[in-house]
Amino acid sequence: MSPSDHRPAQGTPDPAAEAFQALLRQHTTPDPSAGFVESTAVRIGMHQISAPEVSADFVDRVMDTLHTDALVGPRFDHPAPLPLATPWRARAPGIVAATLLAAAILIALWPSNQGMAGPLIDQQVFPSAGANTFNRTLSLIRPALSNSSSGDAEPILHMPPAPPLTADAGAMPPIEEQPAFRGQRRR
Amino acid sequence: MEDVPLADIRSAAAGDADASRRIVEALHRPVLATVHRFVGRRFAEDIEDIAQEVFLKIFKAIDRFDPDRGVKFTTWAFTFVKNHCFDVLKKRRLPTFSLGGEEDEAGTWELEDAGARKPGDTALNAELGQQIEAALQQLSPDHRMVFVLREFEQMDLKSIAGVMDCSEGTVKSRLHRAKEALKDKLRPYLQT
Repeated sequence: MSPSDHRPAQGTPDPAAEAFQALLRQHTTPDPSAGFVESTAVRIGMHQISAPEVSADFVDRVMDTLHTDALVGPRFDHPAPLPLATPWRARAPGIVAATLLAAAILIALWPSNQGMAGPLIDQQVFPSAGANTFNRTLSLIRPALSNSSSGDAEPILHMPPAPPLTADAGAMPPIEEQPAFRGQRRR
Repeated sequence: MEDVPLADIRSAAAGDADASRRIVEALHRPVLATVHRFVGRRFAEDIEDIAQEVFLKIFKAIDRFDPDRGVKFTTWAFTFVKNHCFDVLKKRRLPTFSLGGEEDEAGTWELEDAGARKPGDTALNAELGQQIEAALQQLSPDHRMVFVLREFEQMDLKSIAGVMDCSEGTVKSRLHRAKEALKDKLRPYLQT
C-alpha cells in the first residue's frame, strides 16, 4: 500500500511531488491481526442465510394434494375461526342509534302539562288565537240561532245572544281601515 | 488493486464459504488500510471491527452485484467501505475540518514543529506518520476519502468517482484541493 507513483509527463523529475510521495510513504498502517480473515469468514458464514433448496417434485406434490382434497375433501378439519374482536369504533353507529331511539321513546312517554303548554304556544305563534277561536265558534252557532222559532236565543255559555239576522244583515258597514303595507299611507 | 474473480463472486453469492474466504483474503488489506487512514488512530481498537462490519454488508448484498453494469467488484465493494466509514463518523461525532481553515468546535489538531527533519531520516518514522495522519484528519470526509483511495490505494479516477457517486471532475477537484491542503500542512516536512 504505497502511495501512487506520480511521474512527470515529460520524464523530468518533480522534486516537490517526489518529496510529497516520499512523505506519504511514511504513513503506514498496522498489519491485520492473525485471525482477522478467519474470524471475518466465520462471521460471514453465520450471517449468510441460505434457504434450503426446493426438491424437484415439490410442485407436483402440492398439486396432487390439492387435487385429492378437491375430490374427497380436506383430510383434516380446520378449527372454526375465532370471532374477530369488534373495535369500539365500529360499534359507535349502533350505540348512537340506540341512544336516539331511547331518547325518542322517553320524550314520547313523558307526561306533558297541556294547560301550560297550549296557551304558551298559541300566544307565541298565534297572538290573537283567543279572539279568532271565539269568532269561529260564533260563526258556527249563528245559523242555529237564526233558525230558532222564538227568535230569542238563549244565552250560550253565558255570552250575550247574537243579534237577529235581518235582510240587511249582509250590508256590512264599510271597512274603514284596510291593512296597509309598509311605507303605504293608511286611508 | 486486482479485481476479484467473477467465479468467486458467484460462488460466494451461492453460499460457498471457501469463495467468501478468498474474497476476504483478497480485499482485507486495502479495506483495513482505507478504514484506518480514514477514521484515524482514535479508532485504532475498533478498526478491525469496522472492517468486519463492512465485509458483512458486502456479503449480505453480494447477490445484487451485477458485473454486466461495467463496474468492477472492488469498486462496488469500496462503496460499502466509504458508506460505512461515513456512518461511523456521523455516529461517533468525530471532529471534521474544512479546507478553508475553519475548524469545528469539537477540537483542533496541532502539527508538531518538524524542524529540519526530512522523510529520509530514520528518526522520523512513526512520528512523521502521526503528523501525516493528523493532517489527513483535518480534511473533510469527502476530500479525505478521495485522497486515500487515489494516493494510497492507487484507485483510478473513474473507480473513485463510482465509489464517491460523483463525476470524475469532482474527484479531480477534490484530489487537487486535498493535496494542496496537505502540502500546506506538511510544508515543514517537504523541504527538498
